[in-house]
Amino acid sequence: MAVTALVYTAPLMDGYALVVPSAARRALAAAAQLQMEKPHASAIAVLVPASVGEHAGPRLRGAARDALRRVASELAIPVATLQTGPSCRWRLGLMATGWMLLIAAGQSWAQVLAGIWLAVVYPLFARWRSTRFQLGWDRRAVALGQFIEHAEVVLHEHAGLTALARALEAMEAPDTDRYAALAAACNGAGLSGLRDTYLTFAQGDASPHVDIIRFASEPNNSRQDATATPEEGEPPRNSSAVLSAQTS
Amino acid sequence: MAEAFVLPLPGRSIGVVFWERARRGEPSAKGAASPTFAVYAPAALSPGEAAEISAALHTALGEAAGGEPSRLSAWPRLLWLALGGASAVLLALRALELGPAYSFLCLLAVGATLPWGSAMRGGRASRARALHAARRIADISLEAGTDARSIERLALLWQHARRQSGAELTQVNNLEQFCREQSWPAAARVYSDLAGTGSVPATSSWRRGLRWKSRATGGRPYASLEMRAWP
Repeated sequence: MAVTALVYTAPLMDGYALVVPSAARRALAAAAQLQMEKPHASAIAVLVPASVGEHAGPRLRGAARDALRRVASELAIPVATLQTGPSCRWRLGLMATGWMLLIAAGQSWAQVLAGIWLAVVYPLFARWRSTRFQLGWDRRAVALGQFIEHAEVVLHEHAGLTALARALEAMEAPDTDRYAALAAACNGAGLSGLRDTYLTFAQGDASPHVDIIRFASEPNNSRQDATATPEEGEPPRNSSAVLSAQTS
Repeated sequence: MAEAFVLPLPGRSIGVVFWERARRGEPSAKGAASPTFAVYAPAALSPGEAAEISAALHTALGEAAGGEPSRLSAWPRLLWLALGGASAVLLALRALELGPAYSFLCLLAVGATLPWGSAMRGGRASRARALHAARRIADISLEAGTDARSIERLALLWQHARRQSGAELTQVNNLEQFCREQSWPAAARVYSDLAGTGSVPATSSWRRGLRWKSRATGGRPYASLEMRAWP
C-alpha cells in the first residue's frame, strides 16, 4: 500500500474544481511525516466522479500535483516561531536576572547555580531548541516536496462525487441555486469538505476561501482553451486557470 | 493489523479506522502477524472511498508518529527539566529567607524557562506503536473484511439504524446503546464521542455541558472520516 494524499474533483456546471479540503491537508502533512520516518511508495489519489472521462486524465494529474504543491508550500511554513536570544525581551530579561544573581550571590551556592542556569545554560538550551525547530521544519518541507514530486498520480472514481455530479445534471435552476443545493447535499455525500467550495460558487465567486482550480471537462470545448490546465510537466498556459489560493 | 468499519449515522455514515489495538480483548479476524487492513462496509466501496480510508489510516499513523517538527526527544527534555527544575527549587529555597512572596517570584521566573509544552506532551507508547505500524505500510493490503462476527454485527447495526427516526442526538444515543448490547464497546465509544464533540447537535445546554466534560477524557484510539449515506 502506498502512502496516499487526496485531491477532490468537485463537479461544476462548466467543468471541475480541484479541491484540497482540510482533511486532505492533514493527510498530506501526515504522509510527509511518514516519509520522514522511512521512505515509502507514495501516491496522489485524485477522486473523481464517474463522469470524468479518460481524456481528462493527463491534465487532471498535472493539475492535482500543482494543487498539492501549493498546499505543501503553505504546510511548510512554521505555524509558530521560537523566539530565542537577544531578540526576545523576556529571555533577555531572564539572562540579565541571571547575571545579577551571580553578582549578588555572596556565599550562596544555590544562588550561583540558579544564576548560571539563567545566564548561561538556559540560553544554550534555547538556542539548541531553536536550531532543532528550524531543522524540523526544513526536513518537513523537503519531505513534502519529495512526496509530491515522486508520487504516482492515480484517478479513483468516488461514489459521493458521482452522486453530486448526477444531482447537478438533474437540477433545473440558475447556477447559483444549483451550487447552493450541492452545498446542502455535501453532507449526505460524505463530502462536507467541498461545502465551502460550492458555497463560494453559489455566491458567484464573491468570496473564494478554498483552493480552486477550474478545469474544463470537454477537450474540444472552445471555452476550455481559455481555462484548461496544462498536462503534467508543461508550464501553465493561462493564469486564469487558478481562481484563488486563499486558505480559510 | 488494522480494521475499518463504515458505521451508520443519521443521513450519512462514518468510516472508523482502528489501528491501535483499540479492540483489546476482542478476537482479531486475522491475527496480529498478518499485515492486512480489513474494511467492513454495508456494501462495496468505490475506489475513491477505499483511497479515503487508506489515507485516514496514513493520517492517523503519521500524526501519532510525528507531532510538531520541533518536538524534543526524551533525554534532552529530561535533562532540561532536571537542571532547570533544580535551579528553580534552589533559588526558591534561597529566597525563602526574604519571604514566601520572593520565593514564589523566583520559582515563577526560573520555572518559565522549562520546556513545559514539550514535557506535557505524552503519547510515547502511541508513537512507538505508530512507528511500528508505519514501517509495515508497504506490506499492508486493503481488503474486504472476512471476520464473520464483525460482518454480522455491522449488518445488525445498519439494520437497527435504518429503523431509527427522531432527533439526531437521540438516534446516535440509540446506536451507542445498541452497540453496547452487541458487546461492541469500540463502536459504542465512537458514537459516544460523536455525541460529545458536538458533531451531533445536543438538545439542551446542560446536556452540552455534560458532553463537554466527557470530551476531556483523553485521545481517541481510532481515526475517523465522514462518508456518504447508504441506501
